[in-house]
Amino acid sequence: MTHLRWRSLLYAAVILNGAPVRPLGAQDPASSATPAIFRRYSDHVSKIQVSENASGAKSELGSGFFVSDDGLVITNYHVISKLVLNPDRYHAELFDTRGTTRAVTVVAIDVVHDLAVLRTEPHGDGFFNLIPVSTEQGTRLYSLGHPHDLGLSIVEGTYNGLLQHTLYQKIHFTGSLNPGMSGGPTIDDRGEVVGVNVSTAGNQLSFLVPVDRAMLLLRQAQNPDYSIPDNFLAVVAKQLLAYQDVYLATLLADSGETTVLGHYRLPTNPASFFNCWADADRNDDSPYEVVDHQCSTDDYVFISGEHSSGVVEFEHRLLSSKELNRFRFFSLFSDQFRMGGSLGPGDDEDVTPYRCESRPVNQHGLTMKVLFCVRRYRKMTGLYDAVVKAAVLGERDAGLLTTLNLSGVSFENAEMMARRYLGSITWNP
Amino acid sequence: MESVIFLEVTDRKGNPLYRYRLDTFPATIGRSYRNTVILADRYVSPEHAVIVRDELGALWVEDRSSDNGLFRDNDRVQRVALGAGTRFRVGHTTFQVCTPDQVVEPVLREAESSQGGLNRLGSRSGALLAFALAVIVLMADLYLKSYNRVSTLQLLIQSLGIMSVFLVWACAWALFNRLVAQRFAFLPHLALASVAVIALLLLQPATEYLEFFFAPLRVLNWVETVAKAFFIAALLYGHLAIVGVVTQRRRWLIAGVTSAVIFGLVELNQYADNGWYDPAAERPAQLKPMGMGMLPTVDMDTFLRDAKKLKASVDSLAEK
Repeated sequence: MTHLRWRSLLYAAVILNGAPVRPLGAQDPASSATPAIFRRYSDHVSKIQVSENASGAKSELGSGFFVSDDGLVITNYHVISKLVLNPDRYHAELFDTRGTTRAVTVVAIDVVHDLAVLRTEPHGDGFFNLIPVSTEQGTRLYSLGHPHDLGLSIVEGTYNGLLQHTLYQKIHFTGSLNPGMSGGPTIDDRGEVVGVNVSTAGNQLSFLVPVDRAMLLLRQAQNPDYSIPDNFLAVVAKQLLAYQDVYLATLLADSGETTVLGHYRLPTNPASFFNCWADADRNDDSPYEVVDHQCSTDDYVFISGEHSSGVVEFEHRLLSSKELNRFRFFSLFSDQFRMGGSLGPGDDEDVTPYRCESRPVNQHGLTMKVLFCVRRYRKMTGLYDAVVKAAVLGERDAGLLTTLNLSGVSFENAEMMARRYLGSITWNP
Repeated sequence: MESVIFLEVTDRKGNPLYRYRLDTFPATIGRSYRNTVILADRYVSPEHAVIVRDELGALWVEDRSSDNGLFRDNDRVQRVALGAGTRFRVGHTTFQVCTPDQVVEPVLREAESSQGGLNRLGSRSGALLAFALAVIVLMADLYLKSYNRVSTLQLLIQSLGIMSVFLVWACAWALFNRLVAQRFAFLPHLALASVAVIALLLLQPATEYLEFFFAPLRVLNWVETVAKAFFIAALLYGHLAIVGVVTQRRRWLIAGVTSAVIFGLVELNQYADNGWYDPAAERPAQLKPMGMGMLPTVDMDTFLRDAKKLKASVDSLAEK
């Protein structure tokens, strides 16, 4: 899934230049309602641009839409994330259809659902009144935004229900959303906002944040008791911490689903928002066999261009060989156990290096070498990435490797998950 | 005083460069071709000094009104009495006087000039045997480390490829040997390098098993580094011993300091490069097919209790 970030224009262009699959709807003559909808609602939508202070160069581009007569605008968090994370280095502006430019400030954010409420001075703009809507699958929808900074555009598409396998709801919108349209509204023919444009997987496969999430954030921002936080970074951290507490609470609890790999019973499919797949590599050219079983959350939380969070993934790998002698088999086993490869997003500015503890551990009579590594989010107290890796020993021609990756969790939850995860591995004679 | 003396022109350290046998006196020293001892030293006058025998039979060197004079112990003098071991200087040339009855150091026998064991290895068959053995041990090591199908020929080519590095290494030492001691001694250097390869390959499983059993012990890092440093020092010592130019003490000093500097820099580099991963993360990678029953295991609670300290550790990294 690609966020509709303007900076990924080049990348997106490569994908979109290859002839995309045409949706069925595109065969029909354009709906006659479309020009009317565009005329009627185009002044509700504006372009949001984040620029660097020193150079004045635009750094991020997206869309937003007015939701009140006093200048409140909804957009995606990822459109204005630079402003949130580095308020001293960036500023944001809004360009309306009349061509006027206005400064905007951040009022409220919802990192997990990728939403933000901005404020600008009111200028007699039209606005969308957000109300709960119920939409039927197949309903024609219209998405508005500024794709690739090419000017306000309208895209037709269809509502295809809510995504399965996600922790939080997302609307599956069949229509071409493009970078720059992030934060724009997708409306029905009555002009009711159904969702906020957020991401695409290419080929008409696009995603929206349901309008009720935007309504909640707006209500929070409009609450007279609400005061704009001084430090949005702390808000980001707080929301991520609350998020992980929710989704980790029931994960890998005792009664979870299991799968069998060789002589081991292992956790799988711990929740509905996980996707699991398995693959076996039994190649005649290779003297050993590899069976993989992987599970991962489908979704992630965007923090910044380089950093994201909220992904849980784990992998079981069973190695076995009838052909290799035990020394050679253990060379293979050792090499595969070695730490390495990419372990989650974030660069040196975002996260600390990993620090690890390793020990041979005995659990349910199984002897395993366990490696537990953590690193911290530099700017957000209390949030860690963790890697739990174990090699289960005891057989001479087979070995189990298992890895759990957690991103953006509290240290206590990392410990709890390590315990539950390794604890759920048992011998299956 | 003898009727014959030898004048040695020496370098700064007193090692002789040339020797002149003098048996007729007076004998003259200078830059012109009329002299007995002709010096190609621009600080020496054409007729600089003369060695004369006095009426008592004693030999003297006398300044012949030269521009730069005659020196003894850095004092300009008119004449110097010559005996065994006397040193004097004209221009930039230093002389030492020797007499036929001068005692010389005992002969060094060829066998004692290098280490006893190495000497035997240094023979053609010994060196080739060591090299062949190294290739075989390397092949065995490559075989046990690989987990894809490999043929003996592939293993042989691979190990010869690796050993070619040591051939170059031995060649480099042989060249150095030729420069400082007038002989190549390629075979002894090759034999030593081969023995080092064999020793290293045999030691490796030992360190791997140590890692397998005691991976959490950080002191293991240090033990390993010190052991490696010692190993390199011993190798350098061996090569220097074959060259045979410096004293045994010096050899240890040079080998020790070189090895310490190399490993010091490596350690410093690792320390400065505050890596993405803890070095501890690389350690447990050693898994061994034997001795699992003897592994000092802990239960999960103990492990996670010990892991709590990681929090403080990454927190302090983040606050930096």
